[in-house]
Amino acid sequence: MSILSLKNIHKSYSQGSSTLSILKDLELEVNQGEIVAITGQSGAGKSSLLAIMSGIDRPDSGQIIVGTTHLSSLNENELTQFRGKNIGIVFQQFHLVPHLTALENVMLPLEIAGDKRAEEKARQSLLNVGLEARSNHFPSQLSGGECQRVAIARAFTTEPEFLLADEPSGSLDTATGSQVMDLLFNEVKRRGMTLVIVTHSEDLALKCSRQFKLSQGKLIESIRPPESIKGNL
Amino acid sequence: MNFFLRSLRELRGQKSFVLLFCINITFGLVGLGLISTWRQAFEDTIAQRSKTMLGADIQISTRRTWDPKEIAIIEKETAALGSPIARSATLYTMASSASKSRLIELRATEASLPFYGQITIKGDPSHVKRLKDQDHSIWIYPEIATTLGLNVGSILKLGESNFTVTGITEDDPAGSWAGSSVAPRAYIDIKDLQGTELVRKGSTVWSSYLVKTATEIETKVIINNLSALLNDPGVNIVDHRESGEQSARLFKYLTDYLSLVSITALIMTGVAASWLYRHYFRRRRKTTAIYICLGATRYEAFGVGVIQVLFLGILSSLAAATISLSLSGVLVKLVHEFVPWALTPAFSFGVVAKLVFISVSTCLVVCLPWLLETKDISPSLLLNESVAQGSQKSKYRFLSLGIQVLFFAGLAILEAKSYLSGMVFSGTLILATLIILLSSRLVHKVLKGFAAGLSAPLKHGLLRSVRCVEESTPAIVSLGLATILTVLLPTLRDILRTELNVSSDRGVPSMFVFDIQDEQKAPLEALLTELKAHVQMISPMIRGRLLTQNGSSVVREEMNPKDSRDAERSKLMRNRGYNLSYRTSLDPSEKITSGTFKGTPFSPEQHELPEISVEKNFADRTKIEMNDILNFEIEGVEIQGKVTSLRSVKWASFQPNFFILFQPGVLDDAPKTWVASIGATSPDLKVEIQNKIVQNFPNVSAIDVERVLSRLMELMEKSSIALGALALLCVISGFLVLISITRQMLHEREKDLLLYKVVGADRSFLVKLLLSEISIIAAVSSFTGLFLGLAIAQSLSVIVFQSKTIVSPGTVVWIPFLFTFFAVVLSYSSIRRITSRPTSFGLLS
Repeated sequence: MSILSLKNIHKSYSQGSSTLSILKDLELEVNQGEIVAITGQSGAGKSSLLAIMSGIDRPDSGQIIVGTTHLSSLNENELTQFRGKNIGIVFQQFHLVPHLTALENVMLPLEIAGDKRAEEKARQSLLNVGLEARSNHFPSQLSGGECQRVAIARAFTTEPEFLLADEPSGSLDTATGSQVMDLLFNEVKRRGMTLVIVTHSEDLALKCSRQFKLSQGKLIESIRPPESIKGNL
Repeated sequence: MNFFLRSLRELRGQKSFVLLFCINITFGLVGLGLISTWRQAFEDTIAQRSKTMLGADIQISTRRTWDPKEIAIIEKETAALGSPIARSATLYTMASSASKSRLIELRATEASLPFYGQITIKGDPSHVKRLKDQDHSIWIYPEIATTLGLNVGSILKLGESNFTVTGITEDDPAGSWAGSSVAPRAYIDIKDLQGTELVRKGSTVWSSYLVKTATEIETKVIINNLSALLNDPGVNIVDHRESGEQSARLFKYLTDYLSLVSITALIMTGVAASWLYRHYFRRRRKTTAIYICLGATRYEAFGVGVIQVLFLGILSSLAAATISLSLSGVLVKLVHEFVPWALTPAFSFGVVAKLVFISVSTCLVVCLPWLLETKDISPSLLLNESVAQGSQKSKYRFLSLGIQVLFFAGLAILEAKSYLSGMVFSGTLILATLIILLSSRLVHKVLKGFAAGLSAPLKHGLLRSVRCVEESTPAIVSLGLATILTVLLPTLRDILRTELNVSSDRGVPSMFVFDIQDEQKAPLEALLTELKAHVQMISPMIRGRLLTQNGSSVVREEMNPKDSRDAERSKLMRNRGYNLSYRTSLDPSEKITSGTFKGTPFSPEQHELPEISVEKNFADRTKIEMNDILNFEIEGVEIQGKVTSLRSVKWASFQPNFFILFQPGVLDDAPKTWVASIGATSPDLKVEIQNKIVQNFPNVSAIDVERVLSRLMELMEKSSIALGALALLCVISGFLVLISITRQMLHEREKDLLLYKVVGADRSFLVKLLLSEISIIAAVSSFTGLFLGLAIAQSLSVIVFQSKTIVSPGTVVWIPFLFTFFAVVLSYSSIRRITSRPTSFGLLS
């Protein structure tokens, strides 16, 4: 069953007097439970694509369907609320609210959605990422790896239909990055969720069930035999 | 040049910072600019008009009778230089028409006066009519004509003489002081004064000799010689300039206090400018590191920062000078009552230079911690993102804070021209700031406990304001200080209204009767009893001269234009004749602060010197201490006493009181007059008492206390309007700080807000969050300001007025609500703008 569908996506930006086309007639279908990697060179448009998939930005033309919802039919507020409930995002720079504790950061999307059990659920999420002991610490008191784990807990806490991750290990050292990615993949697998991950890392991409390369505004899928998929997915 | 241009080029890309920084400093300077313009206009007017105001070059005056030897000295010294002299006498007395009477200020002058200028008489274009042209002729101010129903040709009785009104003044170059409506002036020829019999033993009369000199050097020579020869603190010798300045002492004191209010505005906006510069500095750390990496020295980088700050300071000062000059013409009306002539503000290079200096110094001082940090910037930060962000706190903050406190305290001392006022002001401001900060943190802590039960936007607004209190500190301090000022003014006015209310049951007298001769005391008391007037107090008053203090001669202290207000007040206190009195018991309006007051009659058998009680503030200013031996001369007789007690006097009780009280039995036989206070009476009875006194005791004068107090209140209202205008500037500055900080804060938090959007917060959520954050900041600071303002007002009420009145928040309780509302309204447009921006992907890699 398709959980994310991108059809005929076009996106361009003005650069002075000229226009730069980033995405051209882009198509993507992601099914429930898949882990999809999108790679590409710097400037290929990976972040633009992620922004469009998450509803943070809108395409110039084309359709984005998440589940059964056409994102283009939603206004800004509806889109924000939809994203809050249905899409989890993990950023490279973690992007935790600095004046909120780890627990409060995780509670944030639940509180915004008006969930009465926000604290209970957030505590459970922190427990799942192994940070229950650090729940009252502020981001400035946490290490990079811990911050990213809080960000992962926050992305999972509303139990969204699918998760988008933007270079989630890009700001971490290799060992920590690997631990964080294992945690992310395990959680996604345990919950049966869908994950779209944007990365430079070929190694990381190889751990995913499908890989796409963004080149010249289009996604090109790498077809590989199942045994070549690394890891234990 | 390249270096200079590079510094400015960097600012070119920071228009928003430059604009906000300059607006803040400009607003902070406008108040000081206005005051400096007024002071300059005052100085210019004194320079142009002081001779015509005095009508002479030198005035030599005393409140006692001249000694023939002193007259001989004056005549000899002036004659030596061929300088003409003329006599003048000024006294307060009752003047009566056929059916009415009132208090007037009577000036009896010789025909040759004034040496400069001319009194203009209504309907007399020739300006040549002189008082000497007709015996017993009098010129009166229009207020006398109106209240007593007089015209030219009418008869006016002064003491035992009748005078014919030969002129109603139109313009008096000597000007009219702030109390002229209580006792408007009249002029007679001095030869007619004796016949009035107004001047008797102990009468309150200012006797003057006015001198005309050919040159300023002659003026100085005569003043120096006479000061040396007439070495008596009770003789006042001033040139025309000093006389002009003394006549507008109220204006000088008012502008001193106005300048302190203005400094508050400058401090508030300075705090905001510092905050803005900190954010600018954090942004330019990377640029500076790049410069250093490319070969610039750290001191060059520091120099770039200094040049930028100097440029911003100069820009702000020029804007402030322009605004001050534009507003001064309009706002000069607020202070015109305090100057006996019209002020015309004009462009002055001196004022602009002063503003440039204050502005540049303020900018350097408030940006100091970050400027100092510039020289510590290392190119290594280009390799480390977390270092590049920099710390929120400068390591030079304590050093800088010390310099900032010293700078603003110094500025306050210079502007108030008083070490005491400047230090009290600075101390109060520092204390108030600390209390505002501590209280706001305490309130935040308490509020935090309620966060769990709040809706999500409110909770997050609260958490942000609690945890990022550092960010909102300038706004909290500025709004808090603005609230204190706004609360303080009406509250103090209310206290004054209560204190000066004659009709209340606080025992404030409705009339003073003075210059009562010894032999008139009993019949006057009988008359008052017959009229059913309640005599509250009747006290003897003896004029004396302090000869020695602990054996050392008390000499006249010359005034110096560079004197601080404290020194000026102290000298004025010392250089005066002394009114002595005695009584057997203390009045309820006074209490002993040290020593003992017996009140038992002195007897030679006590083998000790007579006891003296001195008013505490007077003792402080004149450096009289407990156990000092004071030696007075009263009508040629020397009387010694020992200071055995110090008293505090509640002058606002308006009961007659004296700086120096002798033990009873010492001065009983000295030549004296009596002063009486009469309790609350009906207006009709008051008129009857006044008329009967004039009929039966022509030399005795009566002051309508109600009229004096209402005039005093009028002046208070006028000064409170001027202070209010400056306080309004502070309030505007406070909101300007809030707007600047909100704008900058929102700009800096765009990423945070975006994050909220990413996790599902819609626009209404963000608007509610930000509005609740602003409301909490504004409410906490303005409510803290309210309580502090009331506490300061209560302290002033107790310390200055010794009042038992409990201040009521009734008239000012709305201020924090209004300020919070304004804060929300003013921030709304910025909040709306930032929250309506579409979600971009700035969070992505």
